[in-house]
Parts: sequence; C-alpha cells; structure tokens
Amino acid sequence: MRAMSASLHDRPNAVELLDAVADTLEQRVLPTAGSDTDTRHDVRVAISISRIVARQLADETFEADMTSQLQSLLSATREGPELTGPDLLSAVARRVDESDLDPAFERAARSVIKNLVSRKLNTARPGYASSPSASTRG
Amino acid sequence: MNAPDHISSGIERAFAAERGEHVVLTITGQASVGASRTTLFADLESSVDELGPTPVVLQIDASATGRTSSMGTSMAAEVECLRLAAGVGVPAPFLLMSTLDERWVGGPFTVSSRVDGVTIPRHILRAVHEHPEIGDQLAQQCGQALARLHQITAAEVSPQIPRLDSPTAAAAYIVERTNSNNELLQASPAMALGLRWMRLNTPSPPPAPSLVHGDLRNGNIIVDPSIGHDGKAIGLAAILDWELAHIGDPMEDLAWLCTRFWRFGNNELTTGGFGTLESLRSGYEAEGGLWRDDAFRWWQVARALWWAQGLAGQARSFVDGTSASLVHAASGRRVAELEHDLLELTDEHL
Repeated sequence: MRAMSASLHDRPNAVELLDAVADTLEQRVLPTAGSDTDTRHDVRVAISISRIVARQLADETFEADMTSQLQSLLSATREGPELTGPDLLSAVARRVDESDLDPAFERAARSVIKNLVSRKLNTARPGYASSPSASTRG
Repeated sequence: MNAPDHISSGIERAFAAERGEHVVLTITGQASVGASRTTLFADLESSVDELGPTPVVLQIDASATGRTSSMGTSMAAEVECLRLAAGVGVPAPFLLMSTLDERWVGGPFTVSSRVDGVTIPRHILRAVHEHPEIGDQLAQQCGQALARLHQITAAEVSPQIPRLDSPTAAAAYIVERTNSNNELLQASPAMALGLRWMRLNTPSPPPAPSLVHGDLRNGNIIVDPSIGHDGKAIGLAAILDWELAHIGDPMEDLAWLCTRFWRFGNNELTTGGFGTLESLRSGYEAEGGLWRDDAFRWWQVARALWWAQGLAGQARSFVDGTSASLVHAASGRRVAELEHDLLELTDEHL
C-alpha cells in the first residue's frame, strides 16, 4: 500500500486500485495468456502503464516542485512566473534554443532540466538514472 | 493485407511470369504486420532444384508507391542496398525474387532466404550470457560488416537512395531534428538542450559520404550461436531492415549501434548490450574503417534525439487517434529515458 494524501473518495485509493490492476494482470492474466507473443507483449505493456500511473499519482509533489523550479529559471530572465504545464515547457525550450544564451543561465537550465528528467524517470522507469551508465558515451 | 491464398498464388504467378520458374509457396506464419509492410514466413519449393521446401521470408509493401516514410527508402532502393551490401561481403538475407509490379499481390514484394538464428534482442543477450565469447565476436563482426558497407560511396548508388549529405550529413541532420522538435506535441527542454549541443559541436566531416544502413542495432540482426566449420560460433548471420539506408556519415551507424536504449539494460556492454566498444572499433578498423571519436559522440547525441522524437511521435499518434496501439501510448513515457541519455551525453563535466 502506498501513501497518498487524504481523499474524500472511498478506499481503495487510486494508487491501490492501479497496483491491484497491475498485480492481477501480472499474476493471473499473463500466465494464462498462452503463447501469442503479441498478446503477451500487450499485457506486459498494460502492466507497465498501470505501474507508471500509480507511481505518478503517488508522487504528489512533482508538479508543484518542478513548476516552481522551471518558473524560477524563467523569472530571472524576462518571462513571468505565470506559465504552467506545456506552456512552461515551451518557454524554457525556446529560451534554451536562443543563440546568445548566457552560460550561467545554461548551467542553471541544465540543472533544472536534469531534475525534471530525473523526476519523470522516477515515475516512468525507476532506477534508470542510477543504473551504471558511464559507458553511455562509449 | 491480402488473404494468404491470394498472396501465395500471386507470388507463384510472379515467379512463373518473371522467371519462368514453377514454384509452390506455402505461407507458414506471420512475422509482423506494419503500416507500411507485412512480413511473412513461408516455404518455397521450386521445380528448378530438388532441395524440397526452403524456408523464405516474404516482405510485401503496403503502399502503392513503395514509399514508406520521408526517410524510409522505397522497396526498390532497399533491394539495391541489399545487393550492394551483399556484394561487399556484408551478411544479409539472399534475395530470391523482388518486383515492383503491384499486380501480383497488390504491392511490391521481395522473397528472400530465411537465415537461421536469433533476432529477438533479449534472446540474443541470453545467448551471449550463456556463451560469453560470442559477445565480443559479434561486436567485432558488426564492426567488420559496417566497414565493408561504408566502402560503398555515393557514386556507386542510384539516385533512388536518399541522401543526407548536403552540405554535410551533420548539417542536414540538424535541420531535420530542428523541424521535428518544432512538431512535438509538447516541447521538451531536454531535447532543446540536445539540439543546442549538436549545433555547437558539429563533428569533423567524413572523408567521403558513404552508404549507411541507418538502423543497425540489437533487434535488426540475426545471430547464430551455433558452431561453424572453423570451430567458432557463426555469430552475425545477417543484417536486416534496410529501410532507413541512405548516403551519409558512416559514424552514424556505429553510434546508433551503441545507443543505450538498444542495450536492453545490459549497460556495461556498449555495443548493443552484447560486446565492448573496443571490439566494435577493432573490427571496424581491421577492415579499413576510419573511426572518428568526435563524430561517434555527435551521432550518439543526434540519434538519441532522433529516437526521443520518434517515441514522442508514436505517443502523438496515440493521442491524436491515428493509432490505438498501447505500445505507442507507452512510448510517451519512454521519452524521458532518451532525454536522460541526451543530458548525460552532452554533459561536459562527465
């Protein structure tokens, strides 16, 4: 059972339900899916998606944390802190794309973007960022 | 897709009309059905020889023109690449028949020999785990095969092979990646940083553009772990899927083969998760290939960005309703893996 902030909905909460869906697919559906590789692959993907969404719901501070960090990045320049979601991502991407980028801003941007990607990976693929990767560069 | 009987009889008629050869074709299975191409397994029995039923692979192009995508080559171009590659000793399936004539099965098709071995990446990694000596041999063979392929110059191919070399391969690729970044469903600051790095760190150009496979990775090779006449494992039996072949920078192929995504978690082995970088490089250089470090790194970044955009594109097709595939839906959440790789590859402090 995962921690999740108080809700007026009845239990199980959303995370608990998604975990139950994933467990059922993994323990009951997959073993009986037969040898059809496409079906088995679809079931595995469905399990993975259920786990991802459960982790996303459990990480309740992600949106606020990352919105704040990305807005702070832009507030030091000319864009206001009112942007959120995809508009905020677009503004940061546009800023990074500018040819006369201040090296200090680029360092700060890289740091925040690394946080963003790392937090997204904690949901989408836990362990990916911390697994041995020294040889990524070859 | 046409019914199997219709396909069998169409191909039998094509053999008779174009080759004067009487064959009996029996479809035995389906390898994959894509938007642009269907791949089937079959047995082919010919009146010309007495070999009995021979396992073959049928590839049938779905589109009337044979075009598969803006970067994909037509089936005719793919056939040309396969022949050129085989001519310089690159292991590839042997083409028994290819035609652009659409009247036989509704689209261009090829019939090629079915090569024994393993194609599923995790099965390849399992075989390497069980026989560790195969891994570096395989990486070396990939290097050798690519060096041979890269000897084929732009002057040797017909105009139907796409070119990515004007004014340089890197410059042309930056334009493509910029356009793709602008078309993303949702902007990605990490991809913007990757593109920025690409612009600021363009590599040395190759001495000459060459034929590039474009999609050589763990997943597009056939590996035969059985022991050959020389007492060693056969290893690399064939390179498949020549749809992205083009004229470009040879280092693109080497970098793509080493992309972390295609190591399937076997991260410490840079080459496809099965072999070391040193083995790949030694094989490449032993066959006369020129290894350029700056271009290797640049193309790792460039292809990581390309694949991040590709996964985002699959997710987009799910979101806009073009695709109902759960796999395409899940692709959206794999973009972060490539973004992570992009940040790591472009981090000057590592």
